[in-house]
Amino acid sequence: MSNPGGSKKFIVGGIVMTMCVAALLYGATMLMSLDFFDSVSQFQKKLDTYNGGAVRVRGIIEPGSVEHDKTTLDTEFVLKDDEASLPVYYKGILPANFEPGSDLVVQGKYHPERKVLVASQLMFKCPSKYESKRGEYGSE
Amino acid sequence: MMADLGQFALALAFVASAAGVFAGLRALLRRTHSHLATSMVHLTFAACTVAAAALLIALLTHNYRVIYVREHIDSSLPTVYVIAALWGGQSGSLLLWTFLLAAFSSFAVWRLRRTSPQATLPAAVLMMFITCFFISLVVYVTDPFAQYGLTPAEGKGLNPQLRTVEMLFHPPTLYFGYVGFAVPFAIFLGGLWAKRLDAALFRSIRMWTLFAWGTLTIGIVLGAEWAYIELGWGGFWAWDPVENASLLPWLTGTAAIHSLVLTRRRGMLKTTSFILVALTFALCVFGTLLTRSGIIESVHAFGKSPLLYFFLGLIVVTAVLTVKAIAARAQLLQSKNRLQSFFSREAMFVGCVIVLLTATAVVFWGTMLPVFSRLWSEKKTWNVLTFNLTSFPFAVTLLGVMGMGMLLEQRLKGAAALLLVASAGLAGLVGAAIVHFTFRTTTVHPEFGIFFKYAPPLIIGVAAVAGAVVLAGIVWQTYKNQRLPSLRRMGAYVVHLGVVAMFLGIAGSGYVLSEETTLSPGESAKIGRYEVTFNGLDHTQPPDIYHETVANLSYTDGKQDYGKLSPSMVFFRKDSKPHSEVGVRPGLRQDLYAILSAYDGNTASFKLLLNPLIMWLWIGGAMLVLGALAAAIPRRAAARIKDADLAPPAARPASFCPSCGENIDHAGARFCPHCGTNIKEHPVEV
Repeated sequence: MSNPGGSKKFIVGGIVMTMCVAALLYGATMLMSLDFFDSVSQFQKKLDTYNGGAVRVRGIIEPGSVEHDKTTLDTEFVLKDDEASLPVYYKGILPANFEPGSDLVVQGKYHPERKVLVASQLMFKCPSKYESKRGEYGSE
Repeated sequence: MMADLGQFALALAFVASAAGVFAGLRALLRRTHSHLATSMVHLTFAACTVAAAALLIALLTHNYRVIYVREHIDSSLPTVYVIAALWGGQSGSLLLWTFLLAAFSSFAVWRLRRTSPQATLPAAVLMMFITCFFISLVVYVTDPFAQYGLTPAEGKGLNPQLRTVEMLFHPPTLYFGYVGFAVPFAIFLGGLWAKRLDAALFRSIRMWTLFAWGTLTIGIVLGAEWAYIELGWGGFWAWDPVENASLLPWLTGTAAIHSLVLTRRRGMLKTTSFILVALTFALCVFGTLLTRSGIIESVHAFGKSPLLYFFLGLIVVTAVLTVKAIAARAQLLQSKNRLQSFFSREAMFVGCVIVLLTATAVVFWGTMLPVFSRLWSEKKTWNVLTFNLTSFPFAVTLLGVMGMGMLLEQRLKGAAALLLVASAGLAGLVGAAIVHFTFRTTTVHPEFGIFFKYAPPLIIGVAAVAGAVVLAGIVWQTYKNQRLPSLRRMGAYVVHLGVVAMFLGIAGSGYVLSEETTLSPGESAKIGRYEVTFNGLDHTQPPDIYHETVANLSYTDGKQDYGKLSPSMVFFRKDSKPHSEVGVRPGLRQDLYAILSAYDGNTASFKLLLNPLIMWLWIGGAMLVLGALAAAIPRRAAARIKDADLAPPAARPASFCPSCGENIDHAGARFCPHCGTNIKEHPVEV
């Protein structure tokens, strides 16, 4: 650049901005991210080091385990995988695709004394995008 | 029969595109032309059309022998959803992707041969290469025409959640956008290969970018609207990887549009524009990869799906081509002008590009964190709050830059500028105060905490300032020129006002109010200032549906009736789980929103919500699309802007209209061709 004053300003401004963004990303990643467990058994293995924060656990809703109170909207069910299972408590309206046997990600906090994961959010995948996950041909 | 025809057509399309790529490359390396290569583009398009039509006919004739047909429809499904099943599944949607790409390539090549003949062949080769890539994906990885040995009697039907109007339009418009961004990349690369970056070429790039951006916008907004009325998808935006996948190319596409303005009018930021166009295409491919391979959500680590390697391969090819083209055409891409000052309209364009790119990087990081974090720790993820917090500074900065750019565009000096700034600032304060004090009684979402107490009024304040500046700009331009701004310019204004409206809707979500209650007929509950009375349940049997239970709620605030809401529970089949249909009464101030969560005899449980300002999100989205449409309309005057590249700047200093800032090429002009200002009356700056 032929304008040294201008280029200096650009460099300093660029460095400052990059540092701000880096600090934002670092803070968000280190302080504000949750642990994401791909399976219930993975979560059970890490229970000793559980720090009380919110986690996401993925599993399958065990058929026959769902108890839903229509008036209080209390729901209890068991999230499981091949090896382990985890009782989950949720209060609120169940999402439309909540069905025994379906694949679900639960966000919530674990209560060690009650041995239950208190869910704040039940997350399914957008069915228009992930429909192939229902075990179709031609998918992974 | 149809399946065989489809398979044959796909094979033909593959051969045609592969032959076109080889013939085209040969001709390019020998610096000759190849009619064979360009005609193969059209043959590929014809073959892809036959393939897509074959699958559509197989669906419409309920040919359950085809696996795809059996998996996605059944005989009770209404015809519109049978058509929608074409993109209801993985292989069908990839076939649609391929068909759209072939169609766009064919149209683009046909147009380019007249407007930019030299760039046609390289652009055609690249588009055919991408088409060929997608055909091989459809044929070898997810064959939509695979068949059973025997014909099953009945299909499995379409997921009830997909039986909505949004299903008819959201996926295809999203694909239009994703696929559309391939074309400007190909044209730009073609121009670089041919060493001709002229006005005609940039016109094509601009048109295609606006087209892809507009359709992608429709797709994203429709997706948000769908998520809003469908339960369990987490409101209008949940920062789901699939949602982010569509946002990323939208952000870089928006940056590309702004960067291209400076490239076209000032000969600046050429490399940046090219990188942005290429990056947008790469992110479209990345988005398709993310939605199709499930690498984020996948239980298994990386690399289970063969799709992953296909898509990563295409992204690598894009990156290599981009870097090589920039290195080989460094001189051609050299900028012709420099930023004059930090406080110019141009500087705000650059600022907009920087903010959008950085936001892209942040959203990309957050989306890919479950993959990246495994490098140093356990799998981690950002939740909605983290995404909201990290994107918040960018939202505010972007609105600020936008308002600043619109202000500087008016080229006001002294008292007039001060007056505008002061009144816009006042508008911001008043706007923020009105919204905040109207909705502030709302309880704050416990998980979002203090952040959400101050973020919404701040966003609304900055948005109101920007909006006031844009509105004042329109009025000022109209007053000064004694006529409304041109359609194109008006389009740009409408888009920016749309952005303001959308942020108003987004900020409104910080004031959501919700109540859960159980009522017997005749009883009422309170939400906000409304009294909601439950009038009882109706049991009906609409066509194609087994049973529907509808609750009747009426809203009043003591003085005035706000009509009825009818949330319901639908049982699609006798044994199926109920599907909740929400009741919504949309309003500019707030949406009344009710969910029937359960019922027992005559007693029913509800979740009642007040969603403030959400309507502005949809209004803003519509403004974005309409504005882009207006801006994309070809203008005869545009043809008169000769390419600034053709004449060296020393021979003819570029002059800009003192009023609108547009490039004026012919020296003797008395009136600006863009805004009509009498130039002779103004000193022309150089």
